[in-house]
Parts: sequence; structure tokens; C-alpha cells
Amino acid sequence: MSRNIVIFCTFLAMLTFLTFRKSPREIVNVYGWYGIIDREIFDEFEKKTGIKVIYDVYDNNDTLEAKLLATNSGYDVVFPSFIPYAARQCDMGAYSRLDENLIPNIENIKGCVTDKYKEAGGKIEHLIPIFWGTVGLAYDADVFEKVFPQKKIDSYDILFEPEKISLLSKYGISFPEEYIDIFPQMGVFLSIGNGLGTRQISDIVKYMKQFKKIRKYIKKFSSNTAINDLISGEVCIAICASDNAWRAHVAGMKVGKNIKYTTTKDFGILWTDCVGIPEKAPHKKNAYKFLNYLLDPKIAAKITNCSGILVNVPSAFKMFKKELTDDDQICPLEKEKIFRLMIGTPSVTPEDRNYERAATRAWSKTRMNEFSHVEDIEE
Amino acid sequence: MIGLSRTIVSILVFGYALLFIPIVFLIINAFSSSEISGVWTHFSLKWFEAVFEDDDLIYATLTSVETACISATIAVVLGVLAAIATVNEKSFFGKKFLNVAIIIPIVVPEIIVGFSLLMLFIAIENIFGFPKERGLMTVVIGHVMATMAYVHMTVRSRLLSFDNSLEEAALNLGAKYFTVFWQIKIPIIFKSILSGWLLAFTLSLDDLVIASFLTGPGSTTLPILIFSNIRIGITPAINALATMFILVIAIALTLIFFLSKKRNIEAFSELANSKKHLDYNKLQR
Repeated sequence: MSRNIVIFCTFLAMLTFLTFRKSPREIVNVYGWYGIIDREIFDEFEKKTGIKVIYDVYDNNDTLEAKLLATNSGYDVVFPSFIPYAARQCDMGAYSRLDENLIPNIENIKGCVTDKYKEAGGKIEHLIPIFWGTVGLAYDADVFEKVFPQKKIDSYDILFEPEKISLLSKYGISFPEEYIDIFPQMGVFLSIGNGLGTRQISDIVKYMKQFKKIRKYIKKFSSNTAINDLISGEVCIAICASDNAWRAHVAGMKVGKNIKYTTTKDFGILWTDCVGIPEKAPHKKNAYKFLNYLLDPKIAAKITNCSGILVNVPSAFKMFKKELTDDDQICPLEKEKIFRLMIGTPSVTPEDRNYERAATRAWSKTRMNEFSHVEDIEE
Repeated sequence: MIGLSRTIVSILVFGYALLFIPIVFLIINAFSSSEISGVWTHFSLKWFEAVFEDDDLIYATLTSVETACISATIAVVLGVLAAIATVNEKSFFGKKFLNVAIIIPIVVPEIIVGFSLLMLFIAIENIFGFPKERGLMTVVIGHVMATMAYVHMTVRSRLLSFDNSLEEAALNLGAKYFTVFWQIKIPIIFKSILSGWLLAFTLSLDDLVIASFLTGPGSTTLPILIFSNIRIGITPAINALATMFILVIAIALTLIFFLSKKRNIEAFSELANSKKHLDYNKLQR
């Protein structure tokens, strides 16, 4: 028996120490979404500069935020979404001020998207808007053709009008998890305020009254699983980001599903994902090199061509692959089109925060199918 | 053999179906050629190749196995010692408290364990400047804390039925306490230690919540990677990886089953022999 113990212990020791890996000297710790940047691009960076990229992934912005605000995260480069995360993290001083001299390629991002970003209150000296896209409707075109023959999806009416949504409901409908992805569209549908709705708490009641009528037709509330849901046929329509819609389109073609995407004629919303260097990044010098590398037009175009996410480097636009640029809904590259898109603004005033809280509560009630307290929101 | 009634058989079938159908479905999907898991197109082995080409996936798997090995080993050492201390007849200060305190991590939700550990590490870092950043070590500490209780419980239940007279006999014959511990106690409770280790290993391999709070650069574990995969659609590569896991476990289990069967028989005959010998000795006297 004691021999067995010796064997067992040696086995453990082997497993424990065999797997200890030496870390290379020059590294940059990157924390981002899964599958956005291809490994090839990191390898090329390592070849060029000798700096190894250690790429870790997170599943949502909240995880990133928890890590960032916990003082020393150890990451050098992170990719937060602008609204509402990056905006508020910036105010809390989570990001270091960028030294533009170390990022000569920062000139490359000048363009419509960056203008919009600045207009919405984005601080380019802390966070560079690197990825962008739209939020819209991804749908199974075959199902849609069956239900509404010879009709084009050009507005959110099909989701917000009870008569229309009831026809689609048996094929499954997915709504987003967060109010921010759906309230502006509802505002447009009810013709309240300009594109992004007003921030009046009284409007929430009007939204809720409409949601109450259509709630029973909604199958699930999920933002992250849109691709799987559309392709497996669990839902026929989902509100999602354009890069995910593109992935669903590509994967769908291989299994004989025709997934299409539209921002609709009356509503297009622009989102941006930023890149920044956390305040206490341990390898700042390498991080600058990495940032500069990402903003190189050739590399930027490569990122887009690999994963379908649009980079905010206008000089790279003409290097995008043809399948992508052919779809003007997913890839609205013309100036006028970008100009027409709307971008959310971060909440600044206490009234904004109050609205945010009321809207979040109202939306979670909607998800739970509780409408008895609709009137309470008013005060 | 007792005849089984139809109801019992159908409940049995239902139970097994509940256990195995999801796994069978997972394995079938690993052989699909489609881009998205759960949609069958046609047979293909390309996702098994994809697993070996995907550096991130392999790296995350290695990190997970490494974390699980280290944390299970530490948890076993601490858990066994704690079990011996709490089962011991000798009373010491805070024994009852220790008994309860060890079980707390099982009762407290994982998310609270993870978050409070994160807060603790930050506080320690602010005071001592160590640990500098979160990484493999902090995850291991979190997992040890969460799994030690399970090891403690398995070993403790074995120790409660432990025959103390064996130890006493050895001590009587002049063995040092250390020798008794290694030669008598550990071999007898070895099976429970092993099962405790495996339990801790499995729990650590499985954990998402604690790890997602405590990971740092370069320590993305497999569950975190899979979970982040959801946003862009899970590919059958994950199914293929899971299939390989199941295969390895199945082979290991079969081996253990046959080996232990053989050993049991050997041990049995040994026991019978010695008993005969004993009886013979008695008769001689």
C-alpha cells in the first residue's frame, strides 16, 4: 500500500510541476472579447517586436469593470464598450491618459465615427474608439418570406405592433437583455422625442404599456446567444449587433439558413468599442506599441476581414473584403450613412441616473412579465 | 435476484435517460461539420482537428488542469489534517468552531466566496504589496478554499468509522506516532483521500464563478473561455473537446474498475489465508 502512495505522490508532483510554464520576458497582457482579434495578428506582432501577446477573454463588460475597478488588474490593454461602461470608467479614472506621440497611427482614426464619438462625450485622450458597428434586427429571411410574403423589413413595427408580432411569435422572438438596446427603438415607434428618446421617466410608462401588449409573444430575453439561437432555429428574429449578425450570416450559409440583417430605415444606432490602457498597467511601453500596431491600416483591415467586426480606420475601409462591403446594412461605410446613425450619450446628471435606474427596473419587470406596477413608475 | 416491477424499470430507464441523453447528444454534435454546435449537417472529424489547432483552447485546458491539480493537492493536505484534528478525541480550543467553519464555504454561494476573496486580495495588496496581481495563484487559493470542505467531509466520514485500536496496537508495539500515521492511518483511509482528491479536482475544473473573479493575465481557465465563446456562437470544437474529456474519463474508470476488481480478489484471498493461518495457530495452542 505504501508503494501506491509513493506512486500517487510522484504522479501529483509530476502533474504539478510539469505544467509550470516559463513566461517570456517581454509581454503585453490584453483583455478583450473572444474571437475579435485573430491569433495570426498577435503572432505577427510578436515577430515584429518580440513582444508576446497574452490574450485573455471575458464574457461581458461587467467582468471587465469588476477587474478594472479592483485597483491593479494586471492588464495592459483592454477593450471596453463605450456606452455606458467606458464612459463611466473613464470618469472614475480607470484609464491612463494616452501619450499621442507614442501612437503615431492615431491620425488614422480621424473620420465620421470618431466625430460622433467625440460628439457623444467620448474622451479620445483616454480611450480610442477602435471598433464600431450598428444595432439592428437579425432575422431568418426564409421564415420572414413565409409570414410576410413580398415585404421588406424596414421598421420595428413588426416587433412592436401586436398584430404583426403575433404572426411571427410561433417561430420564436428574442429581445435584448438590457433596456438600452430596446427603449430607443420603442421611442421612435411611439414617436416620442428624437431618435434616442427623451430621458423622461414619464415616457417609461408609455413604453411599458406597449410592451405589455406584446410581452406574451416574446420567447426569450437574451443578448449574448443571438448567433446560436438564429442558426439553431430557436428564434427567427433577434435584436443584435452588426458584427454578430455577420457571424450568424456566415455560419448560417453553411447550414442552409438565410440570416439577414437590417438597421431599418427609420432607426440606426451606432455603438463603439474602445481601446485603452488601464491606469496601473505594468507594461505601458509595450501597450503603446500594441495600440499603434492595431491602428495600422493593413492590420486593421486584417482584423475586420478575419472576424467581421468593423475597425474605425477609414483608410482601411477600401481593403475590406468584398462580401462584407456588399452588405450595406452590416457595413455602412459611406459618410452620409454613418452620419445618420445615432449614438447614445453617457448619463451625467443625477436626473439621467434616476432615469437609468427607473428604466432598468421597468425592463426587468417586463422580462418577468409583471405589469401591475406600471403606474407606480410615474412618481 | 428480485424481480423488478414494470414501474421500477421505467423509473430506472427514465433516470438513466436523464443522465445520458444530454451526453450522447453532445457527443453526436461533436461529429457535425456545421459551424454552430447543435445544428447537424453531415459527419466530419474536422472539429477534433480544430481543437488541436486552437492554441487558446489548449492553453486554457492546460491552465484548468494545472489549477485543478495544484488546488486539489493542497486541498487534500489541508482537508485530511483538518479531518484528523476534528475527529480526534482530544478537545482543543475552538474545535467546535473549526468543525462548523470548515463547512461554511459549501453553504455560502460561490459568487460571495469569489467576491470576498477578491476584496481580501486587494486589501492585502494595499497593505503588503503582495500578491502584485491576480493570476494562477489567486485562483488556486480560491479553489482550495472552496474544495477543502468536500475533502474534509469525505475523509472525516471515513475516520469516524476508523478503528482506533489498530493505532493503539501499533503504538503498543513501539512504533513512533509518525510511523503510525504513515504506515497505518494513511493506508487505511487512502481510498477516501483519493476520492476526496478527485472530488476537489472535478470541482476546481468545473468552477466558473470563483475563477472569473480571481483570474489575472494569462490564467484564463477553460470554463471562462467557453463562457465567453457564447457571444459569438459555440462551435462544435467545444463538443469535440468535451468528447475527448469523456473518453479519457471512461478509459480511466474502466481501468480502475478492472484493477480494483483484481486487487479486491487478491486482498480477499490474502485475508482468507491469514484467517486460516490464525485459526490454525489458535488450534495449535
